[in-house]
Parts: sequence; structure tokens; C-alpha cells
Amino acid sequence: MLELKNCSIGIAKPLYTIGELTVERGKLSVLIGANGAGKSTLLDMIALGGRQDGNISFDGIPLAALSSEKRSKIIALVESRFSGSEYLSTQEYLELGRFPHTGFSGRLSAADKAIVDEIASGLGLDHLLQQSTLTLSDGERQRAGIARALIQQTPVILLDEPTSFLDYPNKRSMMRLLKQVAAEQHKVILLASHDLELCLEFSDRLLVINPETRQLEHYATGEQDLSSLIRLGFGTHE
Amino acid sequence: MRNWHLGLIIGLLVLLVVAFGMPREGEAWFAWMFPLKGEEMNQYNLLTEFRIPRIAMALVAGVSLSISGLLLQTLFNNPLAGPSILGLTSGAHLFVAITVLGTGFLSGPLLDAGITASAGLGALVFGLLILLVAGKVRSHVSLLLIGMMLGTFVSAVTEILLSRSDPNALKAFTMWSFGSLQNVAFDQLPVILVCTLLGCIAAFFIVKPLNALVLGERQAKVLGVNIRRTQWLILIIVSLLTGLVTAFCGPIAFVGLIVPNLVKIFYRTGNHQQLLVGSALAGAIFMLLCDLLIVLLEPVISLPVNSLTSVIGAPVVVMLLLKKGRHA
Amino acid sequence: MRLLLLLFVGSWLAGCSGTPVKGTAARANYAKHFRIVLHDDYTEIQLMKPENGTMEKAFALVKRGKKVALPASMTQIEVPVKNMAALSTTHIGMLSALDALGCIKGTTDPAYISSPKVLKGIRSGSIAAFSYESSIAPEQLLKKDITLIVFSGFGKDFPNADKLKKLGIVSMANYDWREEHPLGKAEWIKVFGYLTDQPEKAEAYFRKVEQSYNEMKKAIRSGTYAAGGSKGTNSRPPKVLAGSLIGDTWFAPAGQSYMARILKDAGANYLYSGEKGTGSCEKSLEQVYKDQLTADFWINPGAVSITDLLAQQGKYRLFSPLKKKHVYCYTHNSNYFWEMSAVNPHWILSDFAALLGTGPRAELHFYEQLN
Repeated sequence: MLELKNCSIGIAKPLYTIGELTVERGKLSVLIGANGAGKSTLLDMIALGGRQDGNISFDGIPLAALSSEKRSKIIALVESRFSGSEYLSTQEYLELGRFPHTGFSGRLSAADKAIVDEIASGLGLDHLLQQSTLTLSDGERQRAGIARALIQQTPVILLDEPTSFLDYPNKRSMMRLLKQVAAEQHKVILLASHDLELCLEFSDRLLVINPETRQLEHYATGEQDLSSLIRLGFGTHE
Repeated sequence: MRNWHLGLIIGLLVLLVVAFGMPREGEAWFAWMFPLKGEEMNQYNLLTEFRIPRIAMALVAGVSLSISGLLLQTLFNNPLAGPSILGLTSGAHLFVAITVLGTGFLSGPLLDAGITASAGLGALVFGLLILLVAGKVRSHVSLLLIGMMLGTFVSAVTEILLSRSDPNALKAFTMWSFGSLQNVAFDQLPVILVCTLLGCIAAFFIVKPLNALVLGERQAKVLGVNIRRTQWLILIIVSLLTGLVTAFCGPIAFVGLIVPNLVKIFYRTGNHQQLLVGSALAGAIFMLLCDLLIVLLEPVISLPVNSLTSVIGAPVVVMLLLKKGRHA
Repeated sequence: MRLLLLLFVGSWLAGCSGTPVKGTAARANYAKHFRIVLHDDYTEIQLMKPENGTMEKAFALVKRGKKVALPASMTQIEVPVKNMAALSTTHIGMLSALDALGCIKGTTDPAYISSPKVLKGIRSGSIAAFSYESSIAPEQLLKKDITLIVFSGFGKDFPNADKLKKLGIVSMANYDWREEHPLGKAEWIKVFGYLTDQPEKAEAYFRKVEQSYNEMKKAIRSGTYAAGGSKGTNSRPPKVLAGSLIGDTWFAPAGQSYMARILKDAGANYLYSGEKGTGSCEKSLEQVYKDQLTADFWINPGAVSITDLLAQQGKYRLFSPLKKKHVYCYTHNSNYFWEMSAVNPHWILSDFAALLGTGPRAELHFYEQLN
């Protein structure tokens, strides 16, 4: 599991603090907060390291001391902004997900290729594989990003608003998939999202950035409903 | 992919044959193979002192600059990056000027080594400067502009430095800016070729992190790339290759910029193993073609190589810019 | 009728000798770009456009204190000019030949000047040094009471010429540098002669130069010195290469250029005498290598020593004249060359004749053998 202790989150100045937080394997946890509250900052801090205020560790291993190479075997990050390239095919994009597991030359083994094929078809991307990543629609890009994180086969997957461009049915199936993967593959899956209703429906844990207490508060999903969630994360608004 | 490689290799071989055989004014093809009695020494000199160094330097320049350009474009995630446009060439020249001014006593191979080392150092220093700046700049075009300003500034400083030392040095500086593939002697070739080969081989060693860098620094880091180390390696390789070319040929603009872009358009891949091979081959072909053109036109007009690559390169850059307008 | 005939013949004869005749446009014998016309009260100097030979400008040289009615198109210059700005070092050379260096109060960058007297003047501040024509501040000209600027003409007026005119400063173009005939260039000393009111001195100097040049040229042509041992093979005329690489291009004097003419007069077989033009011709190094395989001499490589030459371009070591060490240049004292050679072409001729072996052995004025 992912453990955070005494962390202060913020780029220029601290936005909020985390006293003690454990994000458990097998559960789908969501991070909720207003725009600019610091959701991306927290995800960045876990995935990329950098200035660390406080302790972040996974299964007892402190992340701050890890090299990028080792960290890449533990954490995958799906960003809200897609980073493809005109000459990169979707196939190549997905194959990059195997980066931590390939050897010096970066060549994919048969097993690696099989993993890529399986996950690509699981997310409905197989007819897009030869296309340039830049020609994908926003929804297809998001699915590709998530696929790549799954291909990376890490115990922790962090996602920054992964469903914002998907249509409603796809949003639901994506959340369902993430929950399923978390449970079946015993992963820590933490995603930041604005879709409060979907979060309440599919997630197991709620992590809310409370602007009044300036703390990250955590609840089991059953403990909150929509209105209390809104009050917690966004102040006393409607 | 294989097809492109094969096509380029064949093209290169054909061009090499043409380059070796191309008749000069009043001669026949492959004239040097059939010298008249008593002319053997002269034809031998013409081949070894004039023709071979020229062809070799065209290959060296084409390969080195194209690979440097490809590496820089991936490093900065910017298709408009290149060694001369980002000011690395001017930086290399500044250091060479300082070395030449300061070490009047060096000569021969030691001077060559000294010049190559200082050119590489100059390119490295300015590469680091640009890297520093790149972190703070959002748009691709802004980085370009900063690089160009840096290059202009450094060139002006070099010009002032040289003009204060010796009026002839100023003339030499102007001549340097024309670029030349003909200033290398036959016995300088082994060292130049070895250094170029080293640089190219080193580039192939970092294919894996280069592939990941296509996704940008953040994603590459998440995938496990040691960003700092990779940046340093790229800069060192680029400095070696660019420094080498600048030291012996002067500035040759745009090759590093347009060749990798053209290769990417045709190869349509993010795999740097393919792109490195393609860029090296295409770069060699491009420079060889330029030199052949210069030879063809020699009786009519003497075209400086830097002017020729600029005349071809600038419109291609504009085309690329227009094509990528929405991403700039 | 007979008077007219006499006048006609007289002016024709006078024209031949180059002595200006009253009221008649006298042709300088060799120089193409100026004419001198003597009038009753003043001397007219006409500058001709090098491109087409039409008149560019006319100057009326009026003796100090005299008041003369002049046509409006003419620019008046008071002579003798006491304070002049001579912006080319060839002008310094001509004034030096006339012993008139004292009238120079402004000149060009001292880095290019050889005359010790002028350099001293610049150091002491009595002569102003200007690097570029456009950077001359009128205040500096006024401070030195300069009334005339002589500059190398380029077809246009001197920068700010009309403003300077209002301040009483006349600017006069000089086309000596456009003359291709060696004696034509030297003949411009006559212009300076009239400007400094020493026309006879100028005429005398030029006559001496002309005589010396033409006599030597004639003697060389008739082979008078050939017996002395021409350095060509089998007493054929020595084959001469001239010029050097600038960048990737070799620049050599073209067939009708100044240098080519003197080489021809010196009895040389100049490699590129067949190239049309009065300026330079361009060649590739490879082509020059092929052409010079049988050359005996190399003139004007633009270096002070063989080491210097090889440092410029390693491939020179393959050149025949260099292997024989028959390389000559004036670079060891190029300021002196550029200053004094224009008005003393007979010295260049003498140098060439001596080093090529087509003329009498003599001490070289400008040239030095490269070691």
C-alpha cells in the first residue's frame, strides 16, 4: 500500500497538508477537490518525486530515495494532457509502456507484445494501432493513456482526470474497469476526478481536499453522499 | 522501414560513385583512374589531396549534423531544433577563435586536437545554456528565437575579438562563415573519421531513453528514464559531432534541422534506432548532393556550402513551420 | 585658314605630349578618368565616370586671392590646398612624391599607413585619422581647417557632401584605383600637382616614371637581358601564377588588369593572361593546381613566409613554385606597397624583371622572396 505521512502539498506555498494517509491495494480511491486545490500536485509528487515535504512510501519502501528506473516499476501516471507526437503510432505509444521491463535496446519480447495486444483490444484500441497518435480523438487518447499505464504493469496507478473527455457510457465502463483491475490485480489505483456521482458510485475510498481545514480528509465511500461531498470539497455552496 | 534504409543505402552508393568519377572541366569521367604517362603523381595528388578529403568531409558533415539535429529535436521536444539554429555552432567557433588566438605555438596534430576539443567544449557550454533556457520557455518558436539571438550575439563577440587582434583575422572570420568542405588534408581524415564514428555509436547506445523522451520529459521520467543523465549524454554527443564539423568545416546551417524532419516524415516512426540510421544516411546523401552541385557550378560561380544549405534550408523550415503552425 | 591648321596641329601635338593646352581639353596620355584643361584664370580638372567615360564632375582650381567668375556647374577649389584630407594611402604616396605631405591634415586608419611623417602627425594629433568615410564628424574637419577631402570615388557623392559644402569643405573623388594602365594610375600625380600648385614638379616626376617604365619595357621585349639568364626553362618566358585562395575560391588578376599588364610588360607568361576582364577571375583550387604544374613563379600569394602560406592552406605544398621556393610577395610591407606603388609602377616592373630574371638584377623595391 501507499503511505503518506506529514506531507505538505503545494508548489510555491503549501496548499494543504496530509497528516497520515494509507491508500490500500485492491481498492479504487478517488481524489476530490476544487480547481487549483492541488490534486495534480499531489499526484506529481508521488509519481515524479522532486521536492518532498514529508514521507511517501510504498510497501515500506520510501519513494524519495528511489531512482526513476526503480520508481517506474512501481508507479504509472496517466496525465490529463496527452503527450503524443505526430510520427508516433499508437502501437509505438503503447509499447513505450513496457519501457521499465525491456532491456538495453528497448526491444519488446514476444511476451511484451502479447501484453500490449491484450490490453489494447481490452480497451478497444486495436483498430487504431497503426494510426498516428495525433489523429486520435480526445476519448481515444484517454483510453490510450490508460492502456499504456496498464501495460506498464505497476502496482500503483495514478490518474489525473482520466475520464473527462469520454462520453457517458465510456466513463462508466472506464470506472468499472479501473475498479475491476484494482480488485483483481491487487493494485493501488488513485484517480483525481471531477465526476462526483461516478466517484460515489464506483470508488471504495474518497480523499477530499478540504479548503477550510486545509487538510486531505479520507472517508470510506459509504460515509458520504453527494451534498456532503460537495460541502467538504467545495465549501458551503450548492 | 527496411525499404527506406535500403533505398537510402543504394542512393548513397550511387552518389559516391558519381562523386568519385565526376569529371572536372575538360576531363573525362574517372580521369584519375587513367592518368597519362608522367601525370600519375598529379592525378594521385588530385585524388588523395583534393577529391577524397572533400567527399569524406561531406559524409562526415552530413552524418554528424543530422544525428546532432535528431538528438536535439528529441531532447527539446521541438522539431525546429538544430545545432546551428540554437547557437551551438557559433559557440564552438567562439571557443576555436579563442584557442587559435591564444595558442600561437601549437601546430600540426596537436593544434587539430586542441581545436576539436575547444570546439566541442564551446558547443557543450552553449548547449547547456540553451537547455537551461528551454526549461523556462513554453513555446517551440521562443526557444528557436532565443537560440538564434544567442548565436547572433556570440558571432558578434567573436567578430569583435578577431578584428581587434588582426585585420586579416576579420577577413578570415568572414570567410569562415561561408563554410567549406575543402579545408581538410588527407592525413587529418583518420582522426576525424574515428571521432565521428565514436559519436554515432554513442548515439545508438541511448536509443531507449530517446524513444521515451518523445513523450516529453515528465512522461519519460515516469517511464524510468534518468533525465539528467540522458540530457548530459545527448549534449556530449551533440557537442562532439557538432564541434568536429564546426572546427573543420565552419558553420553549415540547416542540415541538422531539415534532414531529421524529412526522415521522420517518410519513416513515420518514433523509434530512434530507425531514425538514427535514416538521418545518418539521408544527411550523407544531402551533403554529397550539395557538394556535387558546387563542383558542377565551379566553372561558373563559386557557391559557399553554408550559403547553399541555407538557400535550400530556409524555405524548408518555413514549410515545416507552416505545417506545424497549430503546435507552435 | 593656315592659322586654324596650325592651331589644330599644335593642339594635336600638345595633346600627344600630355601638356595641357589653353582652353582645350587635353587628354592625359594614359589616365582615362581625369582631364585637365587650362583656362586663363583657373585650371579645370574634369573627373570622368569610369563606367562610360562621360564627365562626372568638374573642379575649378583657382589661385588663392583671385576672384574668378565660374560656370555654376563647377566646384571651386582654392589652390594651393593647405589643409587636405587624403583618405586613401595612394594619395599619401603621390603627395609624398611631390614633397607635399605637409598639407595632409586628415587621413585614413593609421593601421594601413606606411609614411613615417604621416604616422608621426597622427600620433602627435596634428593629423586626424578617420576609419570610415561615414564616421567623419564635420567638427573634426573644421578643427583642422580642412578645405578639401580627396576620397576613392565610387560613383556617388561623398557622404554628406552638400552639408560639407555649406561648411566650405569640398569633396573630390579620385579614380586612380580604377585605372588599369600602370602609367595611367601614376599619372594622377598631376591632379595632386595642380591641387598643391606644383604642376611642373608633378609633370617632371611623371615624365621620369614614364620614361623609366617604357624604356625597361622596351628592353625586356627586345630580349636585351635574356642573355643574363632567364629563370624560365630553355629561355622561354617564365610562367607565372598570381593570386591566392580566399575561402574556397582562388582570386587571380584577370587578363587586362593592372597586375596582369605589368607582368606582361615584365616579360612573364602569366597563367591567366587569357582571362577576360580588368578585375579578378575566380578559379577552384583544384583547377589552379592543375594549371600551375608547369609554373615557375608565384606572385602575390598574400603571405609573409612559406610557413604562413602553408598554415593558410596545407595543399599549397603541392605547388611547383613553392617547391622551387620562387614565391614573392609584398605582404611583409604591404602598407608601403599600397602607398608607393601606384605612383611608381616602374618600381614594380623593375621588381618583376629582377626576380623573374627577364631584366637587370636589382634590389627589390616592394617584393620579397618568401622563405
